[in-house]
Amino acid sequence: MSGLRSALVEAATSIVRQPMRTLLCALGTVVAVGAFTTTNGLTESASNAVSASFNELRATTVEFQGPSTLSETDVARLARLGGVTRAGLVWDLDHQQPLPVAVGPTASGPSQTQLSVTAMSPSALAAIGAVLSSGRFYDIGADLHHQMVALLGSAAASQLGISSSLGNPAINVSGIVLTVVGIVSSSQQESQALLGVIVPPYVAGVIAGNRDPRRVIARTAPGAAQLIGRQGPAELDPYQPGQVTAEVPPNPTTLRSQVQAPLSTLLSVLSLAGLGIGFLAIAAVTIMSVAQRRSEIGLRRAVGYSRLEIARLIVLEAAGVGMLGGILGTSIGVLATAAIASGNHWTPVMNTTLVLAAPFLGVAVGILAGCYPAIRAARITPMAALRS
Amino acid sequence: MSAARGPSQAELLTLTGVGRMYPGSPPVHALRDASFSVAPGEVLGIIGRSGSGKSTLLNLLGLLDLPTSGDYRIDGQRVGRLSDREQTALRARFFGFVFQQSFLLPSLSAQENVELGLRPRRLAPSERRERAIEALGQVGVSHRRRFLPGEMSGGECQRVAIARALAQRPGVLLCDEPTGNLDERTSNEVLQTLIDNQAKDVAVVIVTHDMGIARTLPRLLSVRDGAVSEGAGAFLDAETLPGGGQR
Ligand SMILES: Nc1ncnc2c1ncn2[C@@H]1O[C@H](COP(=O)(O)OP(=O)(O)OP(=O)(O)O)[C@@H](O)[C@H]1O
Ligand SMILES: [Mg+2]
Repeated sequence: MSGLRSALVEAATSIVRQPMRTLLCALGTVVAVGAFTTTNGLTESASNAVSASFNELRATTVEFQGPSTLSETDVARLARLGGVTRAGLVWDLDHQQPLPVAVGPTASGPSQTQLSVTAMSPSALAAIGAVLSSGRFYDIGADLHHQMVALLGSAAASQLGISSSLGNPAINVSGIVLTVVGIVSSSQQESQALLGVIVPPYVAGVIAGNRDPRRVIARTAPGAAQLIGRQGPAELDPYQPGQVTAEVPPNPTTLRSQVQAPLSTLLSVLSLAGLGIGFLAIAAVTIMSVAQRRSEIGLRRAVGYSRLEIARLIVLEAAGVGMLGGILGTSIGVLATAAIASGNHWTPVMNTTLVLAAPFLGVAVGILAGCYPAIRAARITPMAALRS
Repeated sequence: MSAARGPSQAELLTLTGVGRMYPGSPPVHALRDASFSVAPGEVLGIIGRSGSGKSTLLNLLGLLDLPTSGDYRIDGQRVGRLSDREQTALRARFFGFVFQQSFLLPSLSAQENVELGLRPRRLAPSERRERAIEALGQVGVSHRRRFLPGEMSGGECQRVAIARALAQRPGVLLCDEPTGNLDERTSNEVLQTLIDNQAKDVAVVIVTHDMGIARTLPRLLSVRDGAVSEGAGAFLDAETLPGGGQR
């Protein structure tokens, strides 16, 4: 045991005291592990970027465009389809033309602004994942009872100087007085609706009639989006399904694998080639250094080092060099990944297991590469070495 | 020719008809039919002209090489029967070497070089350090113990090499022209260090081709064309006779 410790100390000394030899020897491994870490980091970062832009939400959202005749009843039929979790009716009033909005029951006032108005059925509020910062949502009952209510997007609310729905402030939209029941701070979809006023379908009809084309936002179970996109139009408009078009998200699995497949092939090819180069580099430089150190090895044999101890020393040195190469290579790989990823506006993502494993990978490469030179070193006879 | 003293219990190294032949065409008989013994604590000089076979003999004595013929016993054990592992263990425990070159590792300090000779012994690091410092003191280079070989003179390096051998506390100290690279004064000093520090029971074998040095040693063997004889006679004959050594 103390023999091994002594050998470790000796190997470490040899590595540290001959920095040039060590560096030369480690270069291949540095490049190899560096390439390995970089490709792996880039694959992870790239696929993470893919997932971010085609996340679960977008992957499970189907949007239908249809005529102004689409009603809640049609949407209810769609919602009954297996795979649809939520569906709601949305449309922009007056083709997204901003309407005059003022605070208070009168149309004129100092704080009058132009805001877009979006109609959303209560189920649409759920389908877009709206989140309130104050107040409450309107519900189906409110719409059925023709309550004149509205929600404000947080941006619109601050524009109007309304910080909270407390006390249900009144606003005036194109001469129609509405009670603000809540303020929506964010949503996963339809974020442009947050810039304006959101009203229930009945109110929308009162303000602008029912001329605007409708959209249906449907949330589906994971993987069902494509199917719902195909089946939806027939459900929404059984007589003229051609009038309804569906917008389905790109299939994220195919997309991701499209990005990942070439990268992981590249990864395995590069890292294998890299490890091969690292292996050969360590082996070659170690063989060279064994040849250079014939007299050192001969002397060690003369003072009583056994063949095994000589071999162990060479292998440990190679392992140490490999570890150093692994650590250096990983550091370079991490830096390179960070640089390239941020250049591409990706979030750099590293596999921590891999980063932690890289030094050990280096050690493994070093041990393997050190074996043959170690055998050669062990065969050196003290006589031959001391004569030269 | 043979000046062998009969083998006895007291003898440490015993050679009987030992030869070393290097294969080739023609094969070189670097050593033939050597028969002599070395007692514990004996100081012995080996003298001979260049190429006569002195190093060959010394390497055989120290198990750096094996005889191709004859019988060599160390403390009664037949060397030919020893495994590589046993030979290595004997080198570690029993023999100390000082070569013409100091063979210090350039990246290690003087003290670390001395400690290197003790590593196969599996000593505690503290004991290894103590022994190394003691040995460096014996040869008078304690003040250089942190120096690298490149920072020391040839004489100092050679002293460090001697310290490396002394620290091993060998039974036999084998020196192959240990002063070959040094000027006369330094070489005398180094040699004196060797002999002074030869503790009781440590045999010292010194190979030299310098008669001045050889004269100071209590016992001499001459080697001529691979043949070993007691005394300096054969060597002196070869020196004085024209064409000597071509017998
Ligand atoms: N490995 C070898 N192969 C072939 N011949 C060898 C080998 N080693 C030594 N010899 C030969 O053996 C003979 C003795 O060599 P050795 O080194 O023992 O001489 P030496 O007395 O030590 O000489 P020097 O004083 O120059 O060191 C020489 O002729 C040499 O050429
Ligand atoms: Mg010689």
